[in-house]
Amino acid sequence: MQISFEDEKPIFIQIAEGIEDAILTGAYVEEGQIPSITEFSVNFKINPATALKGINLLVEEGIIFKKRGVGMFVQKGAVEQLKNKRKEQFFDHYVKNLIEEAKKLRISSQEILRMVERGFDE
Amino acid sequence: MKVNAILKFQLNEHKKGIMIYYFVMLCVIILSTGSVLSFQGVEVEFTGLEIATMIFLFVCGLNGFKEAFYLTLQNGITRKELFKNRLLMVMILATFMALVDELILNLLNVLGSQIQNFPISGLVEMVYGTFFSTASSGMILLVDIGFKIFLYAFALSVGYFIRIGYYRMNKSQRIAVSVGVPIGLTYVLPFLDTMLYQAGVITTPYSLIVLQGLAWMLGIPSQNPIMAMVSFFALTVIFSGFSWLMLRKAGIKN
Amino acid sequence: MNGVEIKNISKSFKETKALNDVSISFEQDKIYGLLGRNGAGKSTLLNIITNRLNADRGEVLIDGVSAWENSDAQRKIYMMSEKVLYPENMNGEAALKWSREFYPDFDMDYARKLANDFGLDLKKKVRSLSTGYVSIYKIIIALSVNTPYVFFDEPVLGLDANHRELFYKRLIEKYSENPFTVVLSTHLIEEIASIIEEIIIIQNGEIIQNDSCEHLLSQGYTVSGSASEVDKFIEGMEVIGIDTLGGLKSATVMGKIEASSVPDGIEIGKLDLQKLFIKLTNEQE
Repeated sequence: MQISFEDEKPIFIQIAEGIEDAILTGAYVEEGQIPSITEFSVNFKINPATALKGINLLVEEGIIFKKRGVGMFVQKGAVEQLKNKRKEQFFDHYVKNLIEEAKKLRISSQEILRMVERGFDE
Repeated sequence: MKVNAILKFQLNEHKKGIMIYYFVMLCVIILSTGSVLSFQGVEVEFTGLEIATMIFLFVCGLNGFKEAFYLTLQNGITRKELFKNRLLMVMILATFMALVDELILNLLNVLGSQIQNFPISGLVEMVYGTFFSTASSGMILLVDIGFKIFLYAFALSVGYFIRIGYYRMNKSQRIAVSVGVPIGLTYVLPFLDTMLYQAGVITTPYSLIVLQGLAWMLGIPSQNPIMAMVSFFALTVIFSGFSWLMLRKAGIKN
Repeated sequence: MNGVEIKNISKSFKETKALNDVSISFEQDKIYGLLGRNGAGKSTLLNIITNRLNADRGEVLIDGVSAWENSDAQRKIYMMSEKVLYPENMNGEAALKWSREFYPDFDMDYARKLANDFGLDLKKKVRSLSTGYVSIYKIIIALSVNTPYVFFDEPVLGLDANHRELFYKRLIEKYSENPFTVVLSTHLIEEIASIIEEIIIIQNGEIIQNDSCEHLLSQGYTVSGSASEVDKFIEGMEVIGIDTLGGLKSATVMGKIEASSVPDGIEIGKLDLQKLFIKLTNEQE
């Protein structure tokens, strides 16, 4: 997990995305404990309020849950939920742009599919 | 009772110096006793203990400001608290040194009476001979210790006063005072005094009046050591008062 | 009110005005960055808060009570100053012991642990320590006193990269386990940008910015592109600085920018604190 202070994205978003990535790759397993706010803030040298803000995003989405006095855990089914979310994002960020560009260049959907297959083969 | 930290620090500051001071004193006593015993006919007088202690405490006063002040500022202690405990420290230190000196003098007296050519005398005995020969022994002991306490408190306060004064002055003021005061006291004022006297402007030289005034304050003509104790106390109060005025708003320097 | 309030403080040294009618406050349990160039008045301000200097005018309140010559108020504050106020022949061990005398909540075990982590020899006197280790000597005490308000004046002076990292980490760790008010006074803004919540910029004895970090960053942008396009784009905007490199131009502007109004040749970037700080403090020279 990397935090970049040069990145356009606010740090708390980077924290949330970093944790999401870790869950998707299996570094943090479902129902397993994740590091505490202190550990995140010390590790990345950020204000604990910032780390909390990032984690709260995930709590609101139901990806992380807190157990009072124990710590924070990955929700059961979080991987599936994240995959769906990321797929939505994938569609919004990449596919929509792809199609928009394709329309400008008058590329048909068949042609795009062929290109995608070529991309997978390479 | 928990001793106030800034009092403890200020007492602690002088601990090492006092130990060295008395170690040197011990060496001097051994040396003088030794020379009296080994050289027939040699007479050694042991007299200046109080004056030596006074000078030592004056120097302690000079050195007792800056470090304690800065430590005070670092640790959120107020100037008021520092100064209050400073006065307490002066009392403790002056009393301690007076008692130790009294003890040394008494021990030496016992020793001196056993050896020929080794007169021992305390300052009070030397200056107030008449008082010594008339007062009761209990009174003498009391005055002997009391006199030292007030003398030592005075020495500590003057040293402290000078050090704060220097701290509050800027560089040019410091140079002016360091050069001006000694030259003024040793050359300019005596010179003016002589001039005025010889020219007939004044009938008695000022220096004489000052000396007589000092003698009066110390109760020498009246052979009254209590007078001196009162004077030393008054001077201690005055110098401490000025020290406080300078300390009250003293700040950190760059 | 809880917190440190500074009300209309002015202070002059002979003819130079060090602080001019400064009013700010430090709330409880927040991390502040007090930024300013050398000689801007940071240390003077901190010295006044901590009873080390007497202000000419104005007052400082700590949890609602006047701070000047008030032990109860001062006991809540610790300031690690740039100037060493410990006697020069006092070694680390003694400094820790005296700190415990003065601050009842001083954590001796933690202090020793820190000394060990930083590799400070507690037997050495302040006088014989290098600049970096003098800073460490003071940092260790500041992190161990456990007062509600801790001020650090140029804390990382002379520290190498590893020790700086260690300092920031220990500070955050301590803060997140048990929050207290932290004020980091420095001219090295980049290092503390991600740590501080609030930012106060002082210039020529006056406060020129007092804002939350997040809000301040949202107040401005960098606009870069070809010189002519940038010039056209920034017309009428509040521009606080411009860098040019050949035909490329990069302008730092304050205010909001509508994403839809940005032409193709122009790139909008996030404001960085370091840049903003340099621009703001250069401006008034």
